Amino acid sequence: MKKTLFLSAVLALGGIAQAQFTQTFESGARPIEVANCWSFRNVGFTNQASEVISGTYSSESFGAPGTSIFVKTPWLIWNNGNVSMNARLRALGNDNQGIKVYFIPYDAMQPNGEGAASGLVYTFDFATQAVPNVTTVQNLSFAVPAAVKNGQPWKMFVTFYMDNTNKLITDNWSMPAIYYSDPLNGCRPSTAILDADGDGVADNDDDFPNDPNLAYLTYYPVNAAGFGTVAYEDLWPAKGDYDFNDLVVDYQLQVKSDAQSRVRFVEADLYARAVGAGINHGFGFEIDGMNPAFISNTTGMVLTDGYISLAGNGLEAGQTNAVVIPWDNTESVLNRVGGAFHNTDPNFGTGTADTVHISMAFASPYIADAYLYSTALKPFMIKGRNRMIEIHLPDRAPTDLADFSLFGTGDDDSNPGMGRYYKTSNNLPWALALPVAFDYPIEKVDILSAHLNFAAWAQSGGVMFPDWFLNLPGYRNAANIY
Amino acid sequence: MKTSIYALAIAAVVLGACSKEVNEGVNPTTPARFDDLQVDPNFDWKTTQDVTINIEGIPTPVPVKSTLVIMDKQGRAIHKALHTMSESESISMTLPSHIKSLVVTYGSNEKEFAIENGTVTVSFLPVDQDQ
Repeated sequence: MKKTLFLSAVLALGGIAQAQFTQTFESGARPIEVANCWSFRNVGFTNQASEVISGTYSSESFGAPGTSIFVKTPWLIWNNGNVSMNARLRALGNDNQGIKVYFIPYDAMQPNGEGAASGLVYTFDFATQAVPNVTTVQNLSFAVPAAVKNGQPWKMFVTFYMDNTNKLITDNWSMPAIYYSDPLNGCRPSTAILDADGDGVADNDDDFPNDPNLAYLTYYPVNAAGFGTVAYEDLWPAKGDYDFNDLVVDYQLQVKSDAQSRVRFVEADLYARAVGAGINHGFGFEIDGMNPAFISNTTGMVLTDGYISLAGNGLEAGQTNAVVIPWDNTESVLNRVGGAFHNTDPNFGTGTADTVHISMAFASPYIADAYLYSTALKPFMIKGRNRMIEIHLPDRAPTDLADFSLFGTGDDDSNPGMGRYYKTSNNLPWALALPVAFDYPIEKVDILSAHLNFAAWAQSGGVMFPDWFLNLPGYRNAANIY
Repeated sequence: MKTSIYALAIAAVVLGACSKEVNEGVNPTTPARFDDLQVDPNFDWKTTQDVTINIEGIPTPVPVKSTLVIMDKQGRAIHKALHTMSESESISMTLPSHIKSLVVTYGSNEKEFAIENGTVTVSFLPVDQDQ
């Protein structure tokens, strides 16, 4: 396995910092320079035309006489050559005013990494200049000291001394050095970082440090140990009892992407937690807008009843969009302990289910773009294992294999032409989805009697109690929750 | 500005339904039965929110690149990606509705940012003060 060392700041993209490092203050914003590991005390930026030496901005001291006024460079590796800069005073005056330059070595033992400053390397005293030269631009230049050219990081420490309220303006700093600070590590000197698979993601950040095709693993919901839930009423197109436990499926999605944030694999753990139904159903999900050809292989489905046709890549055949059927008969993934229902009646024992692990490999690295975001994965129940009857979340269109003639029958008030699906005439749904594991009602108990803020949430258009499903004081009647 | 859409948005929108304009506060009274709810026709029944995260780039003298991690307040990672410090970037994602802020780490930098009107502005620019 190739081992690659890279410097997080300097060589992150393989770029070598320029041999001549400059500071022209043209960012115009001191915070930007601080973010890049420059330090300033009583030195700001000026863009007043009467003050600027060149360009749009120059540095300008603003400290009162006797105060500490300085600029420190980031950590730099210094080479042979001269440091140069332009400087002048804002106004006439030949008091004791000038610039002194020192260098600071890196000392890992110090809290800020700064060792003891060197002796004075260079000084420029305006008092020695003839008036009015102090207000004209001076060209300062001095050689990098031999001790600083040792291949180790040093900061240049430029101090300004002022005996009055005059201002010292500088610009066009040029240093024979390469940038060696790491803004992402407290401005410490850059360090070699291990990247075993050479994908550009440091091993410490890489969820797959030995796989160059994978870098990051993320989950939805956002807890690796947590699941979200989709919960269904199964009498569609007729209304049900609104206990939302006829089929309760927990899900967790894992997305594996590469260093370029391209999706390589999507995996899903699905768990049928409850079945408060007298008939068996199937369960599927569609990736709306995704061409099935984008997926090279899908595994993990539990298909026992023979009514699902698969394409060569494991997706359901005959669909315009990618459709996965994790199971075609919920009974085949349940481990019942008795009773007509599964985990909805507290008078019976608690059963378990097999976790169905679906793995989808993308045919090529997939960039999730705006079109994909605007669409969605759409989970649906296959009612009674009749492939033509799907029950979806509200306003989600069914797949190509659904029987559209059922819309508008019974209590359903869908209007496909208007994008309205799976709602009653009073806008009620047959399915809910939650970003947490749903604590669903016990059998035959209306969800309003279990989750006490649900009604306020729904009737306020989702504004009130957006966390109605959490287990917070006053939020639920525990006696009505399984 | 580069726009990247977080892959998990695919997954997140599992929870979602189409977003439509909704009249808020249709009926503040609380019925006893689900069937008696008075719900706006455009209510989407989503328990999630669509959030756009705008990351403000900071010019750098050399390329600086590291993993940017977006987490909830409990420190659970929602998004990870290699990010170049100098680039501004916009990331769209779907989050649980009740999340009000996000924590973003970038190298040794870590800050909490509020979600305001579906937008999070992420900036690691330091406060302008003397060193």
